[in-house]
Amino acid sequence: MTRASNERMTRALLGSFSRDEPSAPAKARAFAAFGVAAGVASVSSTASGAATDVASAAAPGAATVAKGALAVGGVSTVKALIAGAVIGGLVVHAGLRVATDYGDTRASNSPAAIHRPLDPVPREPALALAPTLASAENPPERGEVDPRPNEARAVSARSSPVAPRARSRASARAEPPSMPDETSLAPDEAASAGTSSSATLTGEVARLDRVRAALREGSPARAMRELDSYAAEFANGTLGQEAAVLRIELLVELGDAERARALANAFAAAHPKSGYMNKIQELLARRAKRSVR
Amino acid sequence: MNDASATVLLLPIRESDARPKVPAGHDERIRSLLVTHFDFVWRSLRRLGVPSSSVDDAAQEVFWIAARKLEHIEPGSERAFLFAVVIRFASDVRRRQARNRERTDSAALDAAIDSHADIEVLVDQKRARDLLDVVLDCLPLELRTVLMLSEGERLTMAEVASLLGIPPGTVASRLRRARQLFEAKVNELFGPDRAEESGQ
Repeated sequence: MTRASNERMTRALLGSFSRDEPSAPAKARAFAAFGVAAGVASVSSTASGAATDVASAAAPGAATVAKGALAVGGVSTVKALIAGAVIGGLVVHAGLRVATDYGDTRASNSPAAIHRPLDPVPREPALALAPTLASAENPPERGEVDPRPNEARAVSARSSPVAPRARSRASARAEPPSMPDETSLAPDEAASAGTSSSATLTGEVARLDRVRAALREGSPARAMRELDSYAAEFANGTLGQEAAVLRIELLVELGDAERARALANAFAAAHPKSGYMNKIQELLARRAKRSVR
Repeated sequence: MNDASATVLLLPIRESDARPKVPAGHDERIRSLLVTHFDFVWRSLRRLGVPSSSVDDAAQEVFWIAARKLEHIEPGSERAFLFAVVIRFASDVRRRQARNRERTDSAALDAAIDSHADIEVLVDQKRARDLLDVVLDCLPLELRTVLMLSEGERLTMAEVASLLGIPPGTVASRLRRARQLFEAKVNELFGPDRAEESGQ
C-alpha cells in the first residue's frame, strides 16, 4: 500500500516537471535584448518607431500567452504578458540610450547590464521573429500576430481574444517617450507607472491575484467572495475571461459541479475559440476525477 | 559535459569580448539559437535548481555567453554548448546555496506539504512542483541532470549521452542511481505514516 502510494507520489512529482515554462516577459525580454533593441538602437530614434518595435518585442510573449495560461492558470500569465510588453518598451528605451555610450562594458549579471544591443549595424527589426514563434507554438487562431499598426489594433481590441487585447493595451501604454530609464523595474512597479486604463487593468490583475491567493491557501469560499467583489467592481473588466475561468475553478473546488458545468457551457458559447477552453476542460475533468473518488 | 565546450567556457572574458561586435550573419545565428533553444535553456536552469526568481536573468546570461563565443560553437553542437553553460550556472548556484540549504529545505518542505497529505490533491497543486525541487536538491548535480533530461525533456539515453558528451552506459547507470535516490527520498519524506493518513 505504502509502496504503491509512494510510487504514485514519485510519478506525480516527476510529472510536475511539465510546469516549467519560461514566462512571456522572460522571452520577450531575452528576444528584445538580442534582436529588437539592437535594431532600434541604430534604426529608430523616434517615439513612434520605438512603439512599433515595442509591439514586435512583445509579440513573442503574446504568442505564448495562451499556452502559458493553460499551463499555470490565466491571470498571472496575462499580468506577465503586460509586464513583458512594458519591459520590452524599457529595453527599447535602454537601447536608444545605450547607443550613445557604446564603449561601456558589461560589468555584471544584472538585467540592466544584460540589455545591451548586440550589434550596432542597422538591420531588419525582429518583426520576422514573431510569426516564427507563433507558428511554432500555437494553433493559428490563438497565435495570431497582428500585422496592423497599433491604432488599428487598438480600435478592434475590444472584440479580440484576451492576449491581443492585453498586448495592445500594453503597447499603447509603452508609447510615451518619457519612460523611466531603469530596465530592472519589477513588473508591478512598471505597471503602476502607466496611464489610467492600465491602472484599471493593474487593479483587475491585483484583485484576481487575491482570488488565486485565497484558492492557493485552501480557502475557496473566501476566494469566491473575492471574485464576487471583483465582478462587482469590474463588471465589464478586461480580464472577464480569466474571471470566468477562475469562477469555474472555484465552483469545482467547492463541489458545485452543476454550476461549474453550466458556466463552462456558457463560456464555450460566448468564446468558442478562447485559449482557455483546454483549461476549462481540464478543470471539469478534475471535478469528474474527484467525484469518482 | 562536453569537454570542448567546457574548455571554451573557462577562457577569460576580455573587455573586448564584452563589446557587442558580432559579425554580420552571426546575429541571425543568435536569433536562431534563441528561437530554437530558449525554452530548453530556461527549463534546464529551473530544473537544475536555479531559483525561479533568477532563471529569467540566468537564461539571458547563457545566451550572452553563447553570443560572445559563437565562433567556438560548432554547427550542430549548439544545444550541447548551451547546456554546458547551463550546468555551470546550476553548479555555481548550488555552491552558493549549500550553506543555507538545510534551513531552506525544511522551510520549503513545510510550506509544500503542510496540510496536504492527500496525493490526489497534491497532484493538482503547484506545490507538487515545489516538492519536486525539495527532492531534487538532495540529488548530486550529475544525477539530477540525467533525471531532468530523461523525465523532464523526455530525451532518450542516447540523446542524453550525446548532449552531455558521456558514454551511454554512464547515462544508464546515473539514471538508475538517480531514480533510486529519488524514490528513497520520497519514501523518507512521505513514509508509511503519511501514506496511511491519506487513506491509501
